[in-house]
Amino acid sequence: MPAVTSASERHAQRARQARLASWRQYALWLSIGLSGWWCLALTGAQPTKLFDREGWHNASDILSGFAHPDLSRDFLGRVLTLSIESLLIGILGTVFAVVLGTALAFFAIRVPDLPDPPRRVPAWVRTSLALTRWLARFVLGVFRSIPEIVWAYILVRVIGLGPGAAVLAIGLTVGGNIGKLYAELAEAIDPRAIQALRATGASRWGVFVFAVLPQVSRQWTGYALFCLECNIRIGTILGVVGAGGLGSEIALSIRYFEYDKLATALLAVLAFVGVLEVVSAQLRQRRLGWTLAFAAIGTALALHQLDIPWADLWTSQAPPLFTFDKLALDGPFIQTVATQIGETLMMAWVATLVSGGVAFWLAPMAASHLMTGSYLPDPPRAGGLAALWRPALKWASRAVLQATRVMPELTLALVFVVWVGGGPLAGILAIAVHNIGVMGRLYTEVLEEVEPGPPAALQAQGAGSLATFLFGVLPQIKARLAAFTLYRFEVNVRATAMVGFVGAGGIGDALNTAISLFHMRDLTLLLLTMLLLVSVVDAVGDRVRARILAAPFLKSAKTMNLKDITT
Amino acid sequence: MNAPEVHLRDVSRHWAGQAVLKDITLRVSAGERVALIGPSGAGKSTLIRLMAGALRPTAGVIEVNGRAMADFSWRELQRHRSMCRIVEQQNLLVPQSSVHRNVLSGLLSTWPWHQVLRAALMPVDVARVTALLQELGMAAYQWDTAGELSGGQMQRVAIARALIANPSILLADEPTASLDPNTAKAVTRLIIEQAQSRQMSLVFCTHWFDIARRDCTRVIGLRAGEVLFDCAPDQATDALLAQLYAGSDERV
Repeated sequence: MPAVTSASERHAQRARQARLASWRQYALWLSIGLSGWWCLALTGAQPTKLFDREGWHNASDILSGFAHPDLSRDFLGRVLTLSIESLLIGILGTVFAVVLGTALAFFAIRVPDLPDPPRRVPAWVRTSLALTRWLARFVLGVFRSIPEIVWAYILVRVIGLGPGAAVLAIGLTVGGNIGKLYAELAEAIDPRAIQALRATGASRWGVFVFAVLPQVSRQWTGYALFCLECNIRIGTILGVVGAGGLGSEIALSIRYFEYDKLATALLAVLAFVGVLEVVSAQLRQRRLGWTLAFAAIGTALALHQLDIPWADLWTSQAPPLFTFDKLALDGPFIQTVATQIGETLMMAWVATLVSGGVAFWLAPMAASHLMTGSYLPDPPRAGGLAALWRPALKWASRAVLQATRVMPELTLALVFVVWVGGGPLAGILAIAVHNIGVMGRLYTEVLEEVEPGPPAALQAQGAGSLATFLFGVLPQIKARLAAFTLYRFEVNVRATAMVGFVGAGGIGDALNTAISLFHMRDLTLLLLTMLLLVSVVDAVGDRVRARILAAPFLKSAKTMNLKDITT
Repeated sequence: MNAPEVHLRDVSRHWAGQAVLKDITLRVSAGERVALIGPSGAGKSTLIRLMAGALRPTAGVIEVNGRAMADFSWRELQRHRSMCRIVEQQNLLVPQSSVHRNVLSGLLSTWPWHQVLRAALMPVDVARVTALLQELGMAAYQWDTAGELSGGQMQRVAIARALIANPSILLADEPTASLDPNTAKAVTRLIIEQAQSRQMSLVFCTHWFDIARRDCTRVIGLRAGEVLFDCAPDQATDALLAQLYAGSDERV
């Protein structure tokens, strides 16, 4: 490029570049859209099934249940008992997960060395430390890449029906998640405190307790609280495979076409999780002691009430679950698994795109700044019709986001399997609907971090809500929105494996069959495949997200820590 | 151009219980160029925001062409806001968007929703923006990212955003406060010239009295939320100015 260019030359050059960039954008969006369409076609899902004659028929069956929910005293009592059981499952599962996760994280953390230590540590010690670390991370990876419901079903085979399997399943999967996140958070802390302790010759344990824990305890408890909320929600559904809680009632009522009971159970889930949100919001505001007390009382109650046959874990008569002999792969099996992996990925992708597209519009509609209020500090009020429909739209959006978020994917999958029949469509719908709420919440949080000056300036000059959002808010947050969406795709891959368990397509179907029929070779191979799939998707996702977030003018201080917010 | 007449009657405004403006009564008629001067904290920004319909008075009535703003419907309020454009102290551009888009966003209030959507998807009105930027000496930067510009360039873009919709009142809230003296002078000149040539009413908050004296038709001195003087520029004597800035470090 010549050192000096005239203004008009520069203008032309930049215009060319801008045009090229915008074409690149169009191409990107077009390919994303086409990929969604193409994936939907490849999975063989026909969205028309939602509203064809049979679909209408099934939907009206389900809705008729909501018109006359079963409110007999008998059934309500049962639902209440099971709700409490779900609550206890969630609490005890979380305690397990935290204990397991912390224990493994202890080994998985890389403790920074002194900047230039005298080389006294023998090679074999260093190697074994590295090996331990690697092994701990691998175990965490195994735990977290296998969804709760798979663990639950496997454990039901080992210790029998009942809440014990659910508690352990939550402990394993969530423990894997917690361990990974705890280790990452611990490695992100200021290394100087650790190095100072190391210089005094403190042991690993000493470093952990006195240098690491004080720095991360806040983030760790925050995340544990968040997990508690999720786990109780999961506790309401693991009963589908016989692991206690409300889920068993939901599965039964669907099996026997008792839609009045289904309606009651679903409403109970909604109410239950709604109350839970209020409680956990309260806990968050109070001192840590309240949370600990809540957890302690819950644990004691759970240990007393749930009646878990611990001894069966060791003395179980069940045949061995995993086998590592004769793991030979044959052609047809590879082909089946490959198809299922493809289907899982495509289902997760379509569901992510659909829910992202809906949440993209619902989240700003639920935002006070855009709908009822203003980024301006104290604008004149305006009367007329707008004073009516704007709040109505805002609260409707909020209700939709809230309701879709509290319904677990599996519960939705059960309902959609009744509505549109088994197969990928039900799975896509279940994950998409649940994610509308989850992404809506994530997007809302991003929206709240926006720099208020530019949108306020637009509102001061009379720009409407749509214009303020598209021109004042969106440019500031689009990189983070994309990163969050991608992050949810990674989570959804795992969720897709879950919904397959109730007949909604993907790799879960095969897992279910393998466990039911004791095909141990298939099970082992499928679980290994899951592990590989999840690891690859996570690794790729991490890379792409880092690139997206490297966009200029992101507020570095507030750049998200994705994992702080959700899992 | 039928610039509206904005009439404030006994307008007060409180922030967190503190009175920032006390019983202000003043009238800005079409085609006037008003310099609003006074020490920091005198309530100049608040006054400007009240006139633009971006802020609600705590007491008193603001009338636009004889109609109270409190009685405006949402649409009328938005139309009034669209006619009054504020050039802020900090430019408040969207740093991630291109200069073109930032200027274009000045037209948003004049568009129906489908055109807003269209503009969000593709560059529109390119020639119009180019022409305006040319006037302001910024044409070469139309496709640059706004956040990469210098302070003076950003302020010019902000002026372009205010001007593109041909407003009838331009409200400048110390637009040069964060600029170096030379750039500040140039930007001030630009605003006054544009207001003159487009026959807009102008309310200009500034600390530079010589500019106010030369190019404005009227000077309002604001001190501690009250109008100290409101007169023609040549009647604003040094004694009045000394009184205006008494006890403050700032000086004209």
